Amino acid sequence: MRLFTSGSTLHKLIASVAVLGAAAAIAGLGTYATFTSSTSASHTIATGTLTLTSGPTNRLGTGASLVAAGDSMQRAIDLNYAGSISFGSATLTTTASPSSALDTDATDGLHIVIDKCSVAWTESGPPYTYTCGGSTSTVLASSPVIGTGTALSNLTLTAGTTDHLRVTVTLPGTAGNSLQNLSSTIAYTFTGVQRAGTSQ
Amino acid sequence: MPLLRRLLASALVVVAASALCVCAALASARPLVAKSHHPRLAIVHRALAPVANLAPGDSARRTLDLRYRGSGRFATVVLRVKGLAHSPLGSGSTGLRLKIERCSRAWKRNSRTRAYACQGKRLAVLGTVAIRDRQRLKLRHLSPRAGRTDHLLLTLGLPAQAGNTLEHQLAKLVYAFTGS
Repeated sequence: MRLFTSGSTLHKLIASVAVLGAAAAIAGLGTYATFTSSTSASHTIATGTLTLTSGPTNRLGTGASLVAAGDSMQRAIDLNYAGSISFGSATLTTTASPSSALDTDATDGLHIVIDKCSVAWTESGPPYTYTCGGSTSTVLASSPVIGTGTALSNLTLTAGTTDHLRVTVTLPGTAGNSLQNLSSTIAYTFTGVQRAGTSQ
Repeated sequence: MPLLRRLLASALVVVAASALCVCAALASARPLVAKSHHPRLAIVHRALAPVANLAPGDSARRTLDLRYRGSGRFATVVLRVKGLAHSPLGSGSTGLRLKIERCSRAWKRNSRTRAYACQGKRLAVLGTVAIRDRQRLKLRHLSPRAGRTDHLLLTLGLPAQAGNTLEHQLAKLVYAFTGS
């Protein structure tokens, strides 16, 4: 009997020891399970800017009326480059609203030429005409007046500089009577595009 | 009876030993951690060179040495980039992108071309990802064992299609590495 009684006590003791042992093991594991270590480094990132503006000379807002076949009109505009990122290229997009055959007729309708002068154009008129006291170069050869993203050549594209442009719009001598008494309003949008991506 | 006494005594010894182990672990946690199972992460040069006038299509490369001190090894190392919570630079598809490579030897920079070359084994630690603030980025192919150093090359860039909304932005990025 006593032995039996003792055996029962023994079982309880062994169970208690097992529970305590398990608790101790869990506590020990828990102590090690959450170990982490962190470290960090930092720096600043700044993006650049690209700014294309026009002026002080900008005669593109000046219209022309009673244009006849063979006539041309000249308007000057200055393009200024600024910002912390260099320009890679520039394009011209022209749209018409209201529109007419003057801008939709790619053959006999209005055509555009853009020239650049190394110094500011000398203006006379109105009607406006311009002469260059420095050297000239072609920015856009003769093209239909309406175009999208037309590439421009020979621009300086350097931040802090200005390109002096002369826009010449011509109604070709081949324009016929169907182009009489029409009107179009042309909007010119010059877009500067950044230089190609580089590695810093 | 002698058997019961012996069992009781053994149980007492086991209990006492367990208690002592736990108490010892709690009382002297630092020596146990440092000497037995706990590596630590460290970066020697924590201030990376700033990146200025970043434009779409640009990339900037910075090197960083991740050191493992103490003893033992980490099972995983993750990176969280902080500092983009309120910046369009962390906008995802058109925002900043990060790539991390590892060289088994220190990276060598060509002073003329400014390109980095690896004269050892080159491994991809993190493929190019668009980074968002505090996003958990699991790093691969590290050697997170105490005593080792991982020579990392971070390439940060803007995709070419990033638009004008990212112009003239400034952010201070914190690269937080956590080993566990």
